[in-house]
Amino acid sequence: MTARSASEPSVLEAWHGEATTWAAAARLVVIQQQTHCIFAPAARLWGSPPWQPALGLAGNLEHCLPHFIRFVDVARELRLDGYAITLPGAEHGATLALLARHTRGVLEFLSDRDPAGDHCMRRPIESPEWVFSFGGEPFFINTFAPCYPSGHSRYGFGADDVFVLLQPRHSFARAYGKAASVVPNVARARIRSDYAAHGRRYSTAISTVPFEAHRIVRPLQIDDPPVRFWEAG
Amino acid sequence: MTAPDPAERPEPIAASEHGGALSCGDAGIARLGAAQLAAIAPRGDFTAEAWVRPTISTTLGDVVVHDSAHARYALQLDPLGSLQFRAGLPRSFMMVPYFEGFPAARWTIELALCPFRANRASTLLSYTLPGDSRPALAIFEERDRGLVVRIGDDELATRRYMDYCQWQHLALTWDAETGALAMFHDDRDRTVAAVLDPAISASLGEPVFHGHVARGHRVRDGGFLVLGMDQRRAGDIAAFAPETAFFGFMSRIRIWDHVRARRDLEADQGRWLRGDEPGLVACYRFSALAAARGESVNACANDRNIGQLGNAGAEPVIHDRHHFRAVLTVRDAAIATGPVLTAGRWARIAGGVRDGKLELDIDGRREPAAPLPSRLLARDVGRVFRIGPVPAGLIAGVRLRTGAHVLACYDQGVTSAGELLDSSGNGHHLALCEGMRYMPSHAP
Repeated sequence: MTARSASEPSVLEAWHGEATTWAAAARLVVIQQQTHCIFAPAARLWGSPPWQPALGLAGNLEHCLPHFIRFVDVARELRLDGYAITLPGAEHGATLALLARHTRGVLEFLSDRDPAGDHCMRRPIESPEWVFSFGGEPFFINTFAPCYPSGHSRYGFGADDVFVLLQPRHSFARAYGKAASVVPNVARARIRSDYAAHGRRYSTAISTVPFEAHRIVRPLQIDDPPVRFWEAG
Repeated sequence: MTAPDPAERPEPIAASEHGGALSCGDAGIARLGAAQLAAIAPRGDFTAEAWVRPTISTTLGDVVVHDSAHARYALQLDPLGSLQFRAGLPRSFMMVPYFEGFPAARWTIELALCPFRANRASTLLSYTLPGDSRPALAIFEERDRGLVVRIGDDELATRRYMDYCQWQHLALTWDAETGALAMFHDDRDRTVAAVLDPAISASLGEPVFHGHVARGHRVRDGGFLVLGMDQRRAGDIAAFAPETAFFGFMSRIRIWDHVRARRDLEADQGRWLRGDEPGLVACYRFSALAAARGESVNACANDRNIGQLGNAGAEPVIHDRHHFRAVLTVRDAAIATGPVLTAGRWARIAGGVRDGKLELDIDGRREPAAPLPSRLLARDVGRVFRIGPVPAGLIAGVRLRTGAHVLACYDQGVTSAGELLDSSGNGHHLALCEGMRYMPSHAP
């Protein structure tokens, strides 16, 4: 039995309260409530600390880093579903090229400082086994940005900001239950149907390519080639 | 033991038109006192029947179990589903040692699988002959070449990849005379869309790859077939290669001794095969009952080409438990149906002995049932008569008969003492234990 400090639950509660306040302030909840993934509305998400313009991208990520490490450590206990890094303002995602460049910047920053030493962004990325990992935790990553029009599955619902949403893999099993191997086809079908019904059909072809990295930054058009964000300059 | 005076029979305090249902929770049972075991034991032909509603959370379920000096039988629900192959150590695999009748000159191999990302290479299947240091046949995926088929010393790279984190059907055919190899890969979009729209039929489609490999080669019999692992030495677990292991789930593997046409593959894609189909050499599925004994289910034979499971691990071993087979055990004999029950649905299950033969009916239909090997049967459940547990499931309307005589009937709720009432008048009331609850509002 693990010893536990008497004050720990209140500490976790305080962290959770602070992080969810940041997420709300960043308007992440707008996407969460309006997107068409059936799991999104109930998702428990943390947001990154408020952006400080004077620090620039690297400085803000440095400020965010200990908070993200904290997320990795408590996500299972608090049943958290994702951590959203907010890059405010159109300069980060007004175009696909900007989104790709800054997504690369965020993920390489985290990878270089991976406390588990995996440094996943230095490994061959276009490889079937590659996933983004940090602190020993594999993540599925979604990006939302103003460059995506309203008919796109990654539309930001009017936000000027870029959201890099990192979802730990263990959160998916909570969504579909431990008796299932993977998201059931009935849930997949409902999600795809809902997106299509709202005019935001997404390419399942990208979901079938063997490389996880191709799913992180989506192209603007369904049939466009994958966005190789890790090469963006 | 004489039946109680009807005037003294306890009145039910909770009853519905259909008698409500028993909710088993994780391990709830309704059990009889040991002193009454003899009185409720059937002599000769008998039937045990019940309404059951398993769920996807139901593991191996006991509907009715009797074990006494006079009788021994069990009516069970055995979930069929997918087996998890875990990454790293301990190694996860299914091994068939000294495979009898491996197709030498032509075959079709079908797999239903859901891969996850883990290794740079992922071995779906290897077949290695004793004394050899590399497989005679291997199917694996590699980073730069996609799915690769190696037969003897020859290899063919398809540059087609599995679809990660999604269920899919792969089928490969090979003919030694020409060396022709074809790969089918189902249309996953259609498979998903068909869930909501019955008008859409999930299809295998045309082959996604054609090529030639190992023309004129013959695959020898008697090797070690291993799912999920490459073998550096035939059947030597320590020489299995975890760094190129398959990570994910498999639910079905079929091996045929001929090249199957697309229409035949599609016709059988969603079917449960009996195992006696012409040319079917092996047909592996996974059930909780078999997995608990470290084995897979081979529809083709109970005593040959048995798939032995490595790293079955802790519960739940079997995932995606959407379908269940009914299992009836009487003494040392047992039979099992195909996947006749569906998670979330009520079904009337009846099992018993008539004219000395074991029989199983589902919803009034006599179901084809195959014998189960005795090595899979549970031993020593203890001297007991109990209903349940069907974990996370419901049971209702349990009735036991010998011919026209009703031994016990549990369809009228509970007594004032909180026992499950035997409405037959024979007084075999059952104590509700381990979280078993009577739910008057739940009914078939």
